[in-house]
Amino acid sequence: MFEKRGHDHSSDLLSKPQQTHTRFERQSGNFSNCSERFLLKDRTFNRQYAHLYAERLWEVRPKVEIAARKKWGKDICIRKLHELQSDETCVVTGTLFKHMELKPSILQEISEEHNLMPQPVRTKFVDDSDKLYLEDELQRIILVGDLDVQTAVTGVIIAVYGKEPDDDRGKFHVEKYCFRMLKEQVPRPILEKDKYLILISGLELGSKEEQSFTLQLFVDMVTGMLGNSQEQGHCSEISRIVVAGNSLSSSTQDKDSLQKAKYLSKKSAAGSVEAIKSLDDVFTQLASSVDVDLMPGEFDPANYTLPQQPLHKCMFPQALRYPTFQTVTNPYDFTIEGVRVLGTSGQPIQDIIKYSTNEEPLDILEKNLEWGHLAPTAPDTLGCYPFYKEDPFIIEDCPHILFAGNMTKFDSKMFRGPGGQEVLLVSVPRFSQTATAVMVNLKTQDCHPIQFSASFTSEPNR
Amino acid sequence: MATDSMYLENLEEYVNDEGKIVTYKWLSLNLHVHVNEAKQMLYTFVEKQRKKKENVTATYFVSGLSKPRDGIQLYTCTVVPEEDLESYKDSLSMIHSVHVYSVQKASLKDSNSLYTADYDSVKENLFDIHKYSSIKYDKAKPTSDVKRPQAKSVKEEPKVNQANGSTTTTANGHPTKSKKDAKKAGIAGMFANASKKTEDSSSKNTEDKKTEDHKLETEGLSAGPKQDKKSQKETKKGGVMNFFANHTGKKGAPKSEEIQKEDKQKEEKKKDSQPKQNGKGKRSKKTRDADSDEEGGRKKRRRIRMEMSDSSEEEMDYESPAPSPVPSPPRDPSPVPNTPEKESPKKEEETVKPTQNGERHRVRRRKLVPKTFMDDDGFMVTEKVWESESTDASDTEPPPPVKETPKAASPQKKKASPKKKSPPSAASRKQMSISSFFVKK
Repeated sequence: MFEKRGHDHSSDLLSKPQQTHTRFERQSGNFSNCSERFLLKDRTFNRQYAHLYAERLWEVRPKVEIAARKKWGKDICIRKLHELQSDETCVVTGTLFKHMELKPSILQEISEEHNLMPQPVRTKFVDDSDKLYLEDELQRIILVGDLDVQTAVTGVIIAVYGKEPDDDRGKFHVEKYCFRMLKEQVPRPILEKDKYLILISGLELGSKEEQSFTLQLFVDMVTGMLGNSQEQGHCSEISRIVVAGNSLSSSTQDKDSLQKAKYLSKKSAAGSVEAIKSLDDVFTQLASSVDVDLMPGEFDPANYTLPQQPLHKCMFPQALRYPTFQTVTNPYDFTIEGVRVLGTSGQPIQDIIKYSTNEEPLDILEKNLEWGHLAPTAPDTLGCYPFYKEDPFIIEDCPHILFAGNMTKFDSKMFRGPGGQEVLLVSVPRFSQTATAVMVNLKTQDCHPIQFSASFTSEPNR
Repeated sequence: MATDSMYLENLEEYVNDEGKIVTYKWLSLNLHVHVNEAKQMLYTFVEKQRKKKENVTATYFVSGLSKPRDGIQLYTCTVVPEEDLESYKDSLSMIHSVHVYSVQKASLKDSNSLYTADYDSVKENLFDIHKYSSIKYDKAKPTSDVKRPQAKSVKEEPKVNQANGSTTTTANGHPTKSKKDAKKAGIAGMFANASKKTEDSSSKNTEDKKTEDHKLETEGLSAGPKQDKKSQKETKKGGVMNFFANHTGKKGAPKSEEIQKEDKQKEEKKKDSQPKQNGKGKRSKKTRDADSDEEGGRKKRRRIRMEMSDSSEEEMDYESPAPSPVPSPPRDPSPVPNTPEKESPKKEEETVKPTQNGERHRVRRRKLVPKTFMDDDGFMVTEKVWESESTDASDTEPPPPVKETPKAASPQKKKASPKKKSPPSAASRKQMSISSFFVKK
């Protein structure tokens, strides 16, 4: 898209007005929404999370065992924890649990013996004394050895190869480990023309630092207002926009009005009301020209637990008049032009950053693929719905693009899996901080950031 | 090319005289031209003004690839003031497009003024903007301005429940009629003024359109045979209002006339018509509920109640075999100790039985009667039981004609209804006066 094509048209519009201007037609892409599993059918909260873990183990364990056999030979013996015999080298499968001293625990907080000063607010809860346990349905055992505790997180299904020595019972010495194998990727179709997918997140309207002008530039660019003909032609090849969460800022989630007396706050509307109205205007402009999918994020008026349900339609009365606008779940899984895209608004990634030493979003996305799970820390430290018979976060089909929204900066990487899979990992930055959106070429899996800005000096007119 | 020459003068006027910030988007929306043409217009204007040595400043939009930084090349789109244009262009490794973004008299300090410059224009033309851009998308066709889904479903309920086609037609016919007739009756104006004050206070945050439609529809519906008893909303309108408000379909026109544009008025009127009719007794309201949306729907027991067309007709009423919301079927088996009665233990229609004549919708009533009997173990048991009691005649008139009867009678009916109610009701007993001793049975 960005190569010079022949004649330089850049200054075309610095000329006399012409009557005829080309109007490009946008093609609607072949789209299908695969996020059915993230829609909650019923809302029963009187269940415990044990079912979710059990379901995860039941579903993933057979696949992990297949991977283990493939990796370490067909004749290894796979044992359950309760069948372990000392000094026998074998493979055990189960769920990882990371015991962290600094993990906030409500019991400790309210317990009287630990009546210490309140803990300072921490961003990371890792400590050198963290331990890893392997748990299955009946028992748990401490893992020591060749396993990096700091980068591991709770909730991953793992197979470990090692033994429990006789002189050190209760601990399993790990020599090797493996996770499930990523499924073979369905090859993506070959596209003739360039088609683009735009990922943007963290619009964060409603805050003082909101980037209204740059957002308007973004909208104008996508709808074909800005730029010269050539550029507008390129923009007409954009087939979809996915807004990955946090379209409202955290300041709209201000709970202060709950503390104030009713008579004081009666006339004041919540900050989110105005913000949603302006968001509706933005999406109406966008939807008149391109397909838009809106995902909820951490600060949006949606439920807190994952999977977040689509934002309610009543909030966007104008934008919903266009059939091109739809509100979708977080995480979001869809196929466009045969390319499978999967992504979240960033909460699982941020949670993993908090509870492990992983820092780079792309590394974490890569680990997600290796572990085969989108949000392993749910429900431990990440809010999650108590599923009963399913765990929708297990990555079944290998996507072609995996993205996470609301990251600090843009980054992208092509991940090559063991089975020849190629997954484009994208970390989408917050628009309110960086005024950058991400443009992905569905034909070539290229990824470019687009940055909008307005640079004005405060010098007086010369 | 007449437009072409005119635009220059227009631009001069906007920029110099009015001191406006003219962006390409604002120009395109106001002159109804393609955005690219607007950009070119701005450019020629700037050139001309420069030649005339007039003072205008411009901001430019530049897009291109930045120089690689950390191996990443950003595709930047920036708006820069003219003085920074050249230096900015140099900082890019490749330029894709440059064009004028805006023209204004004084130089700009920040981007906020640019943002607000076309904000209003954009907001007004939210659904038309795409006409002037260079990309069109066939799939994006807006649906007509639909009322909100909740409002819609509420409106549809009453329609469904009212088996009368007439109501729906009146509902449809009404909006148009009412608008046309709106200006006519002087009486209408009188009522308009009178009720305006009270109305205004009650209506707050509803969308005008929505409420208007609502009103019109509910208007129409109420004009129909049914009355919603919006008894909850008590308004102190005079009886005269009731007189008008209770008219059926035919009178719906004058009624609507009265209402004109005052949404609230209509609501109030409707309420007026109903008000005294049912105290707490019957509230049938899904329909009227729609109206009372603003008031925060009193939807309490709507579903359970039968829709009553009139208070007077409560006894008779009924939509015959209609999909009545009342759970009459469950009440069928009599020996069910039905002590938790939902509403008044009064008549419930049985829509099942009386289908002898199409016209007699209500023939029987079920009363809650305490029955004493010996049960298996030899104990005497007293239970309250639903028993059907058939009533005849004078009361039973076909509901449509009943609906049509002028609501003029309603005030009297209202008074009559409590009285009518009492004989059949098992619960209330009239006080015996001494003269009853001398009355022939």
